[in-house]
Amino acid sequence: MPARRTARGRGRRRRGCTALCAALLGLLQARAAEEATGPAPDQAAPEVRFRALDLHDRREALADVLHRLTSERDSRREEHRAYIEAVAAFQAVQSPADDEARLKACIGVATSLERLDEQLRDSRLRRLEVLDRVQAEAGQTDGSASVEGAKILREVDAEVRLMLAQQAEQSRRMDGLKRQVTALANAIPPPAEFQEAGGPLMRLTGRGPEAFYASTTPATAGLFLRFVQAQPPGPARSAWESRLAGAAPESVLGGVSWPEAQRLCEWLSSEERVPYRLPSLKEAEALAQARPGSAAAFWCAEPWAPRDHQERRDLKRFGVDLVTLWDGTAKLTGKTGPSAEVPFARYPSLVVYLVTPIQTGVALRWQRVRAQPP
Amino acid sequence: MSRPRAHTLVCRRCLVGPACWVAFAVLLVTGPARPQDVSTGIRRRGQFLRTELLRAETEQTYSCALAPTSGSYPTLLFRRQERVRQHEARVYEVVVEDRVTDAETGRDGITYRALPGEEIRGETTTRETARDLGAFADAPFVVNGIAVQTDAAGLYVDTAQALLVPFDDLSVNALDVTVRHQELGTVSFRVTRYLTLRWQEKRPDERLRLVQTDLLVALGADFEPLTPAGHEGLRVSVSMPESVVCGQECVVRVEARNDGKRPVACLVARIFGRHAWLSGTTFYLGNIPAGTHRNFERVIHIPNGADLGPVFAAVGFWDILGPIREAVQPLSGTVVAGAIPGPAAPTPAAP
Repeated sequence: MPARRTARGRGRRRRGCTALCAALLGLLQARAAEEATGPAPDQAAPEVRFRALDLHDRREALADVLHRLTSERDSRREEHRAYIEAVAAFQAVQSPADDEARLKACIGVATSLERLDEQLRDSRLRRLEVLDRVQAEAGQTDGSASVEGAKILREVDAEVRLMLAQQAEQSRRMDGLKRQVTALANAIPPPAEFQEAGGPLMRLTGRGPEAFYASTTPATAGLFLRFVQAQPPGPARSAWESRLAGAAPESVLGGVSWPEAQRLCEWLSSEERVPYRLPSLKEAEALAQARPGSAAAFWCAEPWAPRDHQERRDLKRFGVDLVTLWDGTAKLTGKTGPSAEVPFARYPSLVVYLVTPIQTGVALRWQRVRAQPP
Repeated sequence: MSRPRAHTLVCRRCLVGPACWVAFAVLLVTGPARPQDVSTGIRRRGQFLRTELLRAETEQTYSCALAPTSGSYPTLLFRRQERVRQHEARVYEVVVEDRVTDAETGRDGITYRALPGEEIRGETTTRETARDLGAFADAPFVVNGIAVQTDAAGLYVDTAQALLVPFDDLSVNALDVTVRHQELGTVSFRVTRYLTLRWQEKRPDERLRLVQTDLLVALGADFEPLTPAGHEGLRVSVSMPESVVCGQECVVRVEARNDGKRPVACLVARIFGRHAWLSGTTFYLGNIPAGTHRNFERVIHIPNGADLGPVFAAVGFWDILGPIREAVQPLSGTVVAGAIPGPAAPTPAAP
């Protein structure tokens, strides 16, 4: 193909030179005639046209259009084949029993659909260009257009328009397919557990849209030691280091104040790039229900909001902010459920559970599956 | 003794007064037969002469009121009293009412004549007077259900701060105190607590009454609203024993120092926390002039059933400008059961 193009290019250049020479010759003749007859200021120079050259150009243009049409036919076949493959892949998506394999298949279909969509956008632009070209050629009224050429142009126009219509229909079907793939991916249940490197093992807790991931065990001494060592040196860090010196890394750590628990969540979130936080009241209740007897008293994220108007007024009057803890076993507060507590309380039996929204597990699995080789 | 005196009332409005119209009608009927001077002889009560004591009842009783003090412990002052109830009657002279007609003018009048030696006893009244018999020393009382004993000066210092506890509910501003003595009966009075009190505007008698009935005035806390006031230089500290024992009492102390240039006005502190026996305890510090300090302590009873182990709370501060968030202080201790382990007792020397 490139060799053919090169030969044609040489031929075109040669013809161009011939035409240029003829034009120059014509100009010289006209100049000589002018000098012989004297200047005629008001008379414009007549346009010189060479019918053979025009015909040649038209024929070249027609050949180019036909060549583009051939190329678009190939492209269209390729698109259709890709579409058929995507449909087949989508039909195969529902067969894997494994959630991750199904998700991977969904991602594969979605990726091929995205690629095909991009391809369709490009080809549509190309086909519109071909149409423009056809219309430009058909609009030539210098008499050089032959009947046969016009017929060819009409056929090309009809075929390109048909291609565009088929392409639009295919795009519409692909949109529907994308929606189905998305629905299928969304229907895949989130992973039951996940664990980021160095982070706690997070287990899905609760049901439905209010489900969330909670750490299977409270924050351990090992995790807290990493957090403490990431802090700038100071008396607080030294005190914590000496306290944690003899503790086993897997042992559950109590006696952490609410601000420290919050800072631990923030630090771990930045370390693992996972949004860890303290459980909300609803999450705390779900956590206590999901693990009856095992969930000791733990910090909640919410500030304490007393129902009693007088208590609320007194807290506001004296500018004191209390926070909430959830006692799952009634060992600390004497009753199960939420209780008010001062933020700096360090009860040994008061621990820290970490939670993260359900979207975190879904997103992490998505990233993991996408990172796998196809 | 009384002298007989004649009183004459001349009717000046005989044409308009209804009584005069009646008299005129009587005159018309009886006029021709009546003499010039007619005596009706009606006995009436004359002027007040004296008060006669009918009988007097004497009763031994006592009084109880807040005693002025400076500190954190309310003090009650008990004094013996002798209450005398006197039943009295007012005695008046007796006058006779005479109707007369003036011979010159022809106008009617009434003349009163006192009857010497005769008296009319009027209404009976009861008057009560109390005579202070001094301090009610070394006597047992029951104050709001709590048995107390006065000292030699008739004072009872409320070391358990039982009078302060009801006021820990900030919506309570008054408390009825009932004092009972086994023989002398029951005395009641009302104690108030005003967190802002315009003392300077009070009359002397009101001030005296407030000293005896207002808790914060009696404790010497100044809660006069001051302007300008500020808490920029306020330094506060809170202390509590490291270990407190179930079933015993502990003292929590709040100290406030004003290192600023303006006085701190009506400063109050309050404990907040999860533990009911600790939360809500209120400290009354009042006005703290610049460069001075004031402290207040509260006695807190740790119930027998309190959870053992560490206990955490926060102390919040409020003054007349509002909450002082930056002054919130942590408070912590440990509740232990039984006696606090102290230094080991010296081993007795072997014989």
